[in-house]
Order: sequence, then structure tokens, then C-alpha cells
Amino acid sequence: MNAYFEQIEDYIRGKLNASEIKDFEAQLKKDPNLVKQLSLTRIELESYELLVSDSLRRKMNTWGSNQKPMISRVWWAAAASIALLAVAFIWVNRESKPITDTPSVVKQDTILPKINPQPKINDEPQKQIASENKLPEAKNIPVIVDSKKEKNDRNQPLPNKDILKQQTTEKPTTLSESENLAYQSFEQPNYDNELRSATRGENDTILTKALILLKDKKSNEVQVILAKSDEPESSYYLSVAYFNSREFNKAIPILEKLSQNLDYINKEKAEWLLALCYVAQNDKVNAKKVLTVIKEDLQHTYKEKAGALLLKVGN
Amino acid sequence: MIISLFTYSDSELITMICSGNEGKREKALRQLYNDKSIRITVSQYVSNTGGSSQDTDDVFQESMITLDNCLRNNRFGNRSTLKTFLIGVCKWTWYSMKRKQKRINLTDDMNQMDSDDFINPEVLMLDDERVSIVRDLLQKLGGKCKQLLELYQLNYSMQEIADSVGFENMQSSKNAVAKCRNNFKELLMSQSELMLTLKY
Repeated sequence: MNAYFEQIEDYIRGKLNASEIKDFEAQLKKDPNLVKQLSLTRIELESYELLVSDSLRRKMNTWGSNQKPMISRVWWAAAASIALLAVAFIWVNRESKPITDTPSVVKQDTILPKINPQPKINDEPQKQIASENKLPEAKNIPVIVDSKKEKNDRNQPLPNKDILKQQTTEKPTTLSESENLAYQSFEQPNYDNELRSATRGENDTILTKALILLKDKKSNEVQVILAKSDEPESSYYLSVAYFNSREFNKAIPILEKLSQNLDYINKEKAEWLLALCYVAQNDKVNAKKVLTVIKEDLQHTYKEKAGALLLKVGN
Repeated sequence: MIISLFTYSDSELITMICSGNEGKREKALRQLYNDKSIRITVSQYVSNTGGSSQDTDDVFQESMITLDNCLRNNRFGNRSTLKTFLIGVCKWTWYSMKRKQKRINLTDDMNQMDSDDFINPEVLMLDDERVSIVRDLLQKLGGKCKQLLELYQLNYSMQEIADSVGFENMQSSKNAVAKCRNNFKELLMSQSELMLTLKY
């Protein structure tokens, strides 16, 4: 009977062969539970199809704006072929010229890069900056100064002093042995991927901001942004921010809560980070407890890493 | 000869769309989307039956979605070329749109399309009422779950999902997909009214 339940998806997706379909449909007549499960799975997959179609629709909107007719590609190919032929022709001609035909001085000059081009555009400020920074090689580089941008930059509000103060303390100067072990075992999330996921949730603008800040290693600003959020995903990144700034005591209660949330998609990551927080604090009892739970869960993503870390913590 | 360097055959397109590889899938769909001859045919049909260029764009996009769905779910059947099939779907989509808007009866032409070559998109898709209910439920899942379930629906392997989403390994994508699916199933089941609407 289980075999038929496992075939439901293949049946819906049209992946069964004729005899399998016949068997499956015969079983459907006998088993009302199978019928029920089939309806549910059909609705489930049709729902996921909405995600696919929404995503395709978004893509097509971008294709529409920059679509190019196929003919232009053909012209490009033709142009490329002509260019190749031209290069080949020049090459052949060059080879067939007599050896005595050495390149003239003028030709050599054209190959060499021009030295010290004269600046034309607004080079005064650059000269000034270069001399201040003692960068002699920058002397002759013309720079276009965007006075508008410069003005805008000056008008930007200064960052909060508290945040600036926190930022200076973010990167730990000296780590204890246990902290070292924890940080070595923690792999920072791939923020580009996380950002891609976050933008799919319509209410995730705060999370998106937080991920950008985390990517820029501004953990303290993340804490300010995510402090009031109850969303599990936001809570996880808040705990990552605390972990990054060595505030393990603040990260632990959040991670404990997430580890008990059976529906949370990143539950395993939360458990792993919780173990690392305990390791960092040198709380061997709790670290071993969590690591053992992870290690004994046969399907846990961090099963092997937990086993290895357990040995190190034990030592 | 030169054109064939830049276009894929029907069988290549089908393989690419069903491959579970984002890049290949996009290339194939893009080729069909940018095919001028299909566009012109559809545009003429739509304008001859009272539609605007905006209608053509809408019809074309919805039909691309239907085509993609049919190919991935083995509903194409190889009884015609992809081009003929897509044009047929466009006609059906336009017919359905007009019927919903009660703008016209297209009975004359639509009878001719009652063959195996054409697929009525209404048969394949959730109706509007269901769509709005299901959309609300999907909204309750996080962005990550939505991404995972989309890739799952596109038939990505667990390793490809792990690579694409940034999971540690195949096992973690397996666990995460299972969790997201369970969450969504629970959401579906928790809505008794919804289940009635969905005729469960």
C-alpha cells in the first residue's frame, strides 16, 4: 500500500508508465485514503506551480524590456566572421612580408603606452589630495569631481554615536581558546543567497536590510533593526549578529527558542549555533548536551560536524 | 545555417526546460518568448478579434506559463511542434480571457481547435478563487520556503537545491523541503472552508 502512496507525485506529474497508471487507478478505486491523499497532493503541487509561474512572469517582464530580435544575432555572427577573416588576412600578409621590413620607430611608439598624459579635467583637487596622501603616481591622473555627490555626502546625517562606538568594539581583539574554536566551526551564511530568498517574502524588507548589514559585518546595527522582530528567520539572524559580536548570553535564549520550534525551517542551523555559543562560553556541560543531540540525529545536517566538535570539547 | 547556431531544436528546448537547471531553462524559455514569428501570429489573431497589443502581451505571457507547465508535467505529447502548440495555447488563453470579460464569443474558430494539438489552460490551472486562497496561504510561508518549494516543483535535485539556496549539503535541503511541505500541508488542512472550496 505504501508503494502506491509513494507513486502519487509521479502519477500527478505524468511520470508513470501505462501499466503503472493502470495499477494505480485500480488501487484508487479500492482505497479512499489514497484518493484523499491524491487530492491533497494535487492541490499542493498546483499551489507550488503558482510560485513557478509568478517567478517566470517576473522574469518575462525583464526579458520583454531587453529582448533583441534573432536577426541581430545573425548579423553579429556575420560581423564576427568578417572580423575573423580580416584578422586572418592581416596575419597572413604580415607573415609573408620580407624579413628586412623591420618595424620603424614610429611603429614602436604607437605600441608603447603614452607616458604622463596631460590632465585636462579638473586636476587641481586631485593633485592636492595626491600630495596630501603622498601618492606621487596619482599626480597626473585626471579625476572628474562630482561636486553634486560631494555636496550630498556632506548633507548625509552622521551615524548614531552609540552605533559607531559599538562598531569599534565589534571585532574581538583577543579571543579565548573556546571562542576561537567556536568561530572556526561557524561558517558565515552565504548572504547573497539569503538575500535572494528574503526578497521573495513580501514582508521581509527589514530582514533584507539586516542581511545587507550582516554582509557588511555591521552586527551591532543588525541588533538595532531586528530587536523587535518576532519572525523566526529574523530571530536567527539576530542571534548570528550577537554571536558575531561575542554577546553569546543574548544569542542563547533566542536560539533555545528557535531550537524548540519544530516548524522552523532553519531549526538545525539554530541548534548548531546554540552549541557553538555554549562552546564559546566554555560551558562544556550544555555544549556537550546540544552537540550530542545533534550527533545522534541521523538526518541532522550538522551531525558529523557535531561529532568532531564533541571530541574537541571533550578534550 | 547561421541561425541554427543560435536556436535550439524542439527536443533540445524540451530537455532544457525540464532539466532542473536554471540557466538552461531560462535560455530555452527565452528563445520561445523572443520568437518573432510566434509573436506576429498571436498578435494578428488577438487584434483581429478585438484585442490590443497589451492583450497580446498578457496572452503570450500566460501561454508561456501554460507551455512550461505542460512540458514539465509531461502534458505536451509531441503531437505538434512547440511553435504550433504555443500558438494553440495562446488562442485558448485569449478565448478564456475574453469569455471571463464577456467581450465576445469565439465559437467559430475555437471549434477548430478542439484537437489533441491544443490544450485548454483552464484545465491545468487553479481557478481564480482557488488561486487567491492558495496565494494567501503561500504568503504565510517565509521567503526561503517559497524559494525551496519553487525549486522542488521545478524538479531540481536536492544537491542543486542545496547549491542554489546555500545549504550545507543534500541532506539539509531534503530536511528543509520536507519541513516546508509539511508546513504548507498543515496550512491547507487547517482551512476547512478552503478544503471545501478545493473539493478535497
